[in-house]
Amino acid sequence: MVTLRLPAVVYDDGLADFLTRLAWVATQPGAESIAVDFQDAQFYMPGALTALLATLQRWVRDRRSVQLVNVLNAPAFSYLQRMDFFKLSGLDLPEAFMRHDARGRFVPLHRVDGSLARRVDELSQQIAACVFPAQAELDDPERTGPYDIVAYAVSELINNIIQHARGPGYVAVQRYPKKPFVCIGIADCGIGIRQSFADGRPEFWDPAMTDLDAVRTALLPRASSKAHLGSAWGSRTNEGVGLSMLKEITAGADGVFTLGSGAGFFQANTLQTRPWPNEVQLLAPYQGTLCSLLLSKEKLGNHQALLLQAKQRLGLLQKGSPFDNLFT
Amino acid sequence: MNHELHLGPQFGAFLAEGALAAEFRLREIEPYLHTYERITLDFTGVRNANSSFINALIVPLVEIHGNESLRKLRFQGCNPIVRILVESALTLGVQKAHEHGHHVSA
Repeated sequence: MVTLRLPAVVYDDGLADFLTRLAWVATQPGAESIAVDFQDAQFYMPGALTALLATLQRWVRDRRSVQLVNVLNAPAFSYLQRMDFFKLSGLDLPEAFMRHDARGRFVPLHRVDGSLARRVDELSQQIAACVFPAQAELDDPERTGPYDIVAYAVSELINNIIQHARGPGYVAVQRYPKKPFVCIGIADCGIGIRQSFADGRPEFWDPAMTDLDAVRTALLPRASSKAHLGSAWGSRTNEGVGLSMLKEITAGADGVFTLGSGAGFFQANTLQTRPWPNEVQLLAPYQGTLCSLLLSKEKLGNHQALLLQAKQRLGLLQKGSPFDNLFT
Repeated sequence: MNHELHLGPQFGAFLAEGALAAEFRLREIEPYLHTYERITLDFTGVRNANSSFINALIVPLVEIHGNESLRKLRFQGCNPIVRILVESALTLGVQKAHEHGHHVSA
């Protein structure tokens, strides 16, 4: 048996190391049985929580024996229980607390898989309403920017898992009451971006492509493993702009955008105005894909402006409006 | 003759899935594009949408049918968010048509 002793905290700048740990432990001799030790676990941002849960799911699917140890005395035990982490891990522990309304603060983890097809709008809006409940009932785009952006981002990320991952994932959203941020995390234990390209064989596919190349490519506009393919309905359903848009929206919201898949890891930190993204090849490949968005709440007020900037920066919208005559 | 399609009643206030948009386009728009003089997509009641839905709805129409689609399509009841997404999809459709060697202009 090998033991994965979880770190105390995982913030954005610890995500690359955390994904490496999750991947590395499964490569060790004796890893057909893995103990996950929670004794130090204090705070995990949503992306880290979803990656951990997706990895546990993968290990179980791979028929490894998985034990969660020192759970009850973990500093984050109550938080993890409120997030339904243990319930979704298959460990349904009795609760020694009253569940309060989570609205306005966090969204418990949700499983994402093909069963959500045709219901993506419903779950995305439900999640957005959890973190910005007051805006859910309004119908004025000038006052509902944060709600609309969370719904937009969550829906695009869920669509990616349904269309590409070929494995389940998890999504979580947290709004920090004492900090000016909202954080969205989603991770799956599927085939990863590079394999999705390899299977779909889009025109840019190259067998020499590394995981990091694949992650970089996925962040370019119009890069999709499926943009050239027909669907069951005989036509494309994907133009491959989802991730590139989320990266640009995050930049516009002075945030941190992270995408990790296999050994490829990309992080653009606009919050700390770092001029270049952090692009690394992880020492052990994470078996799946993680996407995390940390957004400044105060920058989310104007969804329209963020969309406009993002589309223009990606060359997906011309300045001026050559199509004015088509709108009535 | 005008073929009016109302997306709000069909999909609700948030248009979120490209696969549903592609189904709708193939069932409700493509078969009628050559028949009707005008096809109006009415977004009244739609509060929000994502790029996946709007692109899957519109990009292939412009990419494949070029000037005919731009002559016939009209967009009604778009709030500012939906309008940005629709304009972007039209832009992408024109770009892709040009890449296929078709001359398309608004």
